[in-house]
Amino acid sequence: MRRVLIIEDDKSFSRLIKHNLENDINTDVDVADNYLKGLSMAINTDYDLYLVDLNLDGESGIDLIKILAKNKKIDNKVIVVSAVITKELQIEGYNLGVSNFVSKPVDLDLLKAIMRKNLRMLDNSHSEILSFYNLYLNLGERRAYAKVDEQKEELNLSPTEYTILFKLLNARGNVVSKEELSYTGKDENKAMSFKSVEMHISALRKKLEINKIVHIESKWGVGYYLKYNQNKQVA
Amino acid sequence: MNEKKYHYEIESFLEPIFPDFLNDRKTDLEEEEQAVNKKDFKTLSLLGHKLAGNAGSYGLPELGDLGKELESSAHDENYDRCKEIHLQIKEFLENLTVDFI
Repeated sequence: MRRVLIIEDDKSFSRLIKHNLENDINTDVDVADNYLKGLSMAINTDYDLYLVDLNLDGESGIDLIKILAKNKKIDNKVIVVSAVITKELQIEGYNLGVSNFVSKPVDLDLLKAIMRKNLRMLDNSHSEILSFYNLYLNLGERRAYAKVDEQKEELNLSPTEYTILFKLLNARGNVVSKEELSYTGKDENKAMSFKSVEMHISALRKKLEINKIVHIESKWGVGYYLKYNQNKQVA
Repeated sequence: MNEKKYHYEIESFLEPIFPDFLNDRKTDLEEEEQAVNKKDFKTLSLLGHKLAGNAGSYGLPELGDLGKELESSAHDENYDRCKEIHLQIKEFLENLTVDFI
């Protein structure tokens, strides 16, 4: 059963949402009624969706989401509910990975439709695997694996290394420009330097050594691509 | 007083949790009264904000509007208006009748 955390200081409101979700969407719902409890529960337990109020007894829900985003992957897992939703808040929220903003008072049918959509996306992404020869990416979990001697070895990539490998895998042997790879840092709207890209590529090459079948080649002055080593057999 | 003014038809799925909602409002109303007496505009603003967010979701949009007005009057530190709205909220809750449909 999917798990949802509601972080909301208004008990009447959280009771209403919990009642609806548990009855209509077959979810297991926990409630945190203040900022600190919410942060602690959100960080220490894996939930499928978070419903966060922006005003938590004077504390900021956006600040809570910022801390949460630094600690775990929250893309498409956070729905913000608030009586006041400004354009600036939405831009900040969407950049952090917030999926939707819902105005209070809420239309329950709308909220439930949004939650169903998010849970469906989660179901799809959890099962989606991108592969290139013996390299596999679990897109939902953002984890990379290499199959070596019939064993699946996790590559333990940093978030940036994962994103770079995702772009290279997606290109399926075609060259990905350095410029495109420069938009894989923490802030995807801001390019990192080419020197940083080179450092990440170097670290990624070392981590890929485990597989011996696929490696990263440089296309001088352009970028990088994945190359299949034909002399080795796919495990 | 027009009794129909405070009569609402509420969706039946809310019936199990409606008494808790009214209990919460009773508690808030007491806190609101104390805040009015102390001219504690910060508390009045928070209580108004909360009411604006929850009452409409429970099928009582007019009560939510009163919450919104309380929040903005408290923000303006308009004591007379806060007191007036507090009394309107009290009257609303004391005379509220609902049918679950």
